[in-house]
Amino acid sequence: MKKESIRKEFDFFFAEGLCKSFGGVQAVTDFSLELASREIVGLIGPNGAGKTTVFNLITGLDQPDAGELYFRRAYITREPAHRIARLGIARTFQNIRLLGHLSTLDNIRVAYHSHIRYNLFHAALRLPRYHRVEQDITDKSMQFLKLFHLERDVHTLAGALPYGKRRRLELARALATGASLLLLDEPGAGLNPAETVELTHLIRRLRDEFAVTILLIEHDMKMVMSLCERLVVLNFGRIIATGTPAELRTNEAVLAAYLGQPRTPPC
Amino acid sequence: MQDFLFYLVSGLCIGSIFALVAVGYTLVYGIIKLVNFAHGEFYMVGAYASFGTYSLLPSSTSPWLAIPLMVLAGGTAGAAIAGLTERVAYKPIRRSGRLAALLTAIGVSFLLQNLFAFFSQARPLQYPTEPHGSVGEICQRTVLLGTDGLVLIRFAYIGAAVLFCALLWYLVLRTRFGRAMRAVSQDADAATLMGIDVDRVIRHTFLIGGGLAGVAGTLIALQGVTEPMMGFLPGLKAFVAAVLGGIGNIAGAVVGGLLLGVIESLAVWAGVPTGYKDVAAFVILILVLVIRPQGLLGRVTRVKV
Repeated sequence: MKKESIRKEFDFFFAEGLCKSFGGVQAVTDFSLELASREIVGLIGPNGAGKTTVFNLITGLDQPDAGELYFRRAYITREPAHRIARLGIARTFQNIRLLGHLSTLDNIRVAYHSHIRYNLFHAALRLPRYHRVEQDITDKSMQFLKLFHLERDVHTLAGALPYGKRRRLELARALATGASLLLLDEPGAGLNPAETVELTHLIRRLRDEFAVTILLIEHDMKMVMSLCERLVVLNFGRIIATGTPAELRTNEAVLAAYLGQPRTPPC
Repeated sequence: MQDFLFYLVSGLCIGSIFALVAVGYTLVYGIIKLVNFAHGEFYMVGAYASFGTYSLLPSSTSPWLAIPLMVLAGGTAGAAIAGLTERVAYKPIRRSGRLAALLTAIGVSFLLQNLFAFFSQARPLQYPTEPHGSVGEICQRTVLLGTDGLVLIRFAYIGAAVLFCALLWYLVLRTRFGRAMRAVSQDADAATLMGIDVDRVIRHTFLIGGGLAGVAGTLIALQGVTEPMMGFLPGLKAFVAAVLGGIGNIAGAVVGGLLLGVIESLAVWAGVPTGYKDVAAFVILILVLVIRPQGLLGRVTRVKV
């Protein structure tokens, strides 16, 4: 909380000076980022630039060696991951990580976990409260599934869903945690061009309807350029450029990182 | 033929105990992929706790009050020692790999056996069968089944197994905690990002498994002896039962436990000398590992915890 007074304008989220090394490899060096509420920001960079590590640091799956994280005025550096999730940061994974042996509906209900207010005592005695809360969870979960066009697959095991639907389910699950900051790790990976366009609309709709802030890693430049309002470019663990998509199209450092040498824009 | 009935029922009774212990094994394995070799010791600690409770109760206490209290104490003690073991021995090394965890489990097992041997001076304890109507005497009463007498209290094993397995089934499939358990068993990282406190789920899983083992130990000791090594063999056999049913699978552990009890008992009926009946369990373990390593229900059921 100590920096609150200085950085009031970024009271939604900011990271400062994050560093992380694995063995001798410096994966992320001095990474700082501010996010305002309801922004859509892209985190891009070549393979191995440290993008996913940044996500792991923000969500608490990895602990930073140095640096600080603040989220909605709370100091969240070194908080356990489940507490950060309850505070409202959710993510999806590059290689989808659903609970494959649970049904589609149960995957969403698990995400609702942190909202639920009844204990084992209520459940064991089947008190009315238990039924009311469980019914509520199921209703809300159904709403999420409808929004993502998954209502027909309620009882299908998540592992048995086709790829595109698994992507959507993972997104639905992240949203169902009640998060206000979504970190999406390559949401467009493996989707065909039509599905990518659909996803772009969906992400924008999520921002508008649920007032969430979105930070996404993406390699599909067309999607990044049309969706993101601001971009952060990483290379070898360091930020080499930030700016709007239009500004970065002609940024020499960015082009060099992607292409090896300055050339015409990638798209 | 009447003999057969006796051995069958007797096998089901002892199989229920295996099932109760195996369920704990399988729960813990399902959650953190640890073969908890100290699980048999939770069973032993439960038996000691119930003996301690028995000694503290005034001798005028009705056995019908004393026995439930002892079972409660045994279950509580089993849960407590499991929780303590998890906190002190397993949690600090959780990220150090499965071999480290396995060796720690064996270490905890030896430690608990020897601690209890030391403090009890390794003297086996038995509930006194005098006077008539006391706990010890009631628990030795038999009913004639064919030509042999079956100890009545053994039927309580079946009851306990049915009751606790039903409760567990409900807990795992119908409650928030159960969903959290299933989530953690499949992908702990993903679960933690859903706001599930993984440490808490693991702790509670140990408490449940330890509690069931403590109850099983108490029930066995009521008509047998309480001694420091009593958990060793049942622990191993419960492990066999869990593997037989498909480790990590709750229904599998129950089926495996019952099946193992019946097979052991029928082996004696078929002429295997009683002293060699334990061999049956381990022959089964080897056969399962060779023929069907995933266990009987390894793939069939959806509920994996």
